[in-house]
Amino acid sequence: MKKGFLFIFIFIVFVTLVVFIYQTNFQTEKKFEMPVANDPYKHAEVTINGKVFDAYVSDTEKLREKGLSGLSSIENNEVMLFVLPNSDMYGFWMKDMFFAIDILWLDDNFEVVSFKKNVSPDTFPKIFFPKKPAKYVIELKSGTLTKLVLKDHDKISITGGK
Amino acid sequence: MKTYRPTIGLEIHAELATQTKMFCDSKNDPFNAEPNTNVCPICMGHPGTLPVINKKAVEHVLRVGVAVEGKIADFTEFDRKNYFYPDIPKGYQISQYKYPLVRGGELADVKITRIHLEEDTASSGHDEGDYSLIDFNRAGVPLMELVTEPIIHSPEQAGNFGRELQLLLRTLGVSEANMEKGEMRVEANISVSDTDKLGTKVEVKNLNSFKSVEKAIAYEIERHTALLESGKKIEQETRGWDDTKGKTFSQRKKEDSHDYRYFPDPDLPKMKISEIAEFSRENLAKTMPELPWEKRKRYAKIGLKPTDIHIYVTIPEIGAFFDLAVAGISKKESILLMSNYISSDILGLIKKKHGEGRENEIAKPPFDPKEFARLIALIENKIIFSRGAKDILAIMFDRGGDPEIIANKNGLIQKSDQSVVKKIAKEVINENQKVVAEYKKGKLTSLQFLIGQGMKKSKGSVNPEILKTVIVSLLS
Repeated sequence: MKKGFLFIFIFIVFVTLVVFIYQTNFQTEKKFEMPVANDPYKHAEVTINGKVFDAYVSDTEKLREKGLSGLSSIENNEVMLFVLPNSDMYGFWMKDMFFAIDILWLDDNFEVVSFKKNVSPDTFPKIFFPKKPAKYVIELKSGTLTKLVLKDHDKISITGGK
Repeated sequence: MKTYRPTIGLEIHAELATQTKMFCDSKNDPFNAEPNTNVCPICMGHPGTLPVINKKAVEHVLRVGVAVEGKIADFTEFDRKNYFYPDIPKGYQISQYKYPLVRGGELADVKITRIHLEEDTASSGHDEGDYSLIDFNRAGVPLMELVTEPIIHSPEQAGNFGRELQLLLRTLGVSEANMEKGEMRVEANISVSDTDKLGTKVEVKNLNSFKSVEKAIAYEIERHTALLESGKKIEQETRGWDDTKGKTFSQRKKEDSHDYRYFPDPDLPKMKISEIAEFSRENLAKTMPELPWEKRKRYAKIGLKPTDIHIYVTIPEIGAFFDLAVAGISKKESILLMSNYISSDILGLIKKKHGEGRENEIAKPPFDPKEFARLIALIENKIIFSRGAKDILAIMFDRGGDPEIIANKNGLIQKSDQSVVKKIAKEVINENQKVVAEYKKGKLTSLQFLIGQGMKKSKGSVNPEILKTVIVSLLS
């Protein structure tokens, strides 16, 4: 009896030690809020299958051209919303991107017309086009659409635009 | 006469672009803050504090490692490098000694020994009075150190390596890598020898531009060679570079190699990189944007001139403009025509406006690449001529606007209407009777002159070929 108890004890100590050595606890970077005056973006609220996201709105040629390029990553609850000049077959590429994204194309009724999951930077210079003309495009952190179980014709709600 | 062979190895430090410092959550922003404001007990080295590794900084170094095809460490750890100096508050710098994050790799045909991660020191200023001021905003900023093998043999090769590394760091978004700001710092180890063995090594510091790197190395090679020629010995030392005098000067003679008493930092966990899924070579490779050498290959495949390729790779904003302008265009002639206009005319306008040498800073043309593409289409469809296109481009550059509207407004739309051409031809003939007489005597260059006058009169809006036939027919 006593031996069995000792055995369990040693086992627990061993496991704790292993975890201590090999599970590196990293500092995840604290995000410094952009001072409001420096934030060139309008913000909107995008709801996809019940989950709410903070959207950076790219509604000028300049902002659309930049997109998410040059950023090292975005938060799980952040997306970029592209408002296109008209409903058309706009293609997207991964120029100067540093992380993978999911891309969602919507028509003027915010209905999903096309989507592409896990598009990584190494796909450049490939251009990704929607299946049908789109008026809005949403870029999300890669893996988000899989988690949300998104399908064609799903409706996305967009509110705000401060 | 003996031949002296120089051998150079480089040590390059780069401050990494992260939100927070290497081991604490103080802001990594040493240039835009009041002195000693981005600090906390950890980066000030207070007793009892516990550092935590910044994951982004590790990722940055690993991505550089993957890009240069180095070997990513399976096991890696941080060490304490002990020395006493006012800019190092803990009395030691956290660095990597035995187990760097990356070993090997190659860039610009130069083999890399290792790339490791450490923390920057505080910055000290000696500008006022008889005292020094220390700013701890920089203390603890993540710093990457890259060491090359001693296999560089010329100042130019060293400069090129530095430039290519700077380009890579910027392409990867890993560092701003400005030499003038000290975000990237190059140290050169130089030796000269007339035998198979390496000569005595001298380290040169304070190199804050690639030009200084090249000049300092050239200076040292000459100095060493002269010393060896006259039978003197080279002293092992650290030298500084004085840019205004164009000379190196002795800073510190090498005492016995410094004992830094390296040992693994007991406050930081060891890292098993191979067990962190997002740091697998495969996953890191997916985050790679198009690397400079891949870009060169892509442009060469399109058939661009080497000089154009060099512009697009070294001034990424111009490269991006080119990429956007040609996106969706498959006709090779159109693409090459666009490239000609971008590399000569647009770049010329940028240089004219912002001054020669500043095109790297303010490189973005002020109009939309798609508008530029429309201008090229106007040329290709013979709606405007190249002479008119240059004028339109200059207007677009100054005020913006649609090329076709500008062409219309300024009378630059090509006139193939015979009556218009005939009118211009007649005017030219009337105004240049002397030249006409010469032409009639058989001087063929006179015809060129007359055509030139007609083009000028029409602001380039008539077809020179048609103008030529009309003039010839009027004079025969």
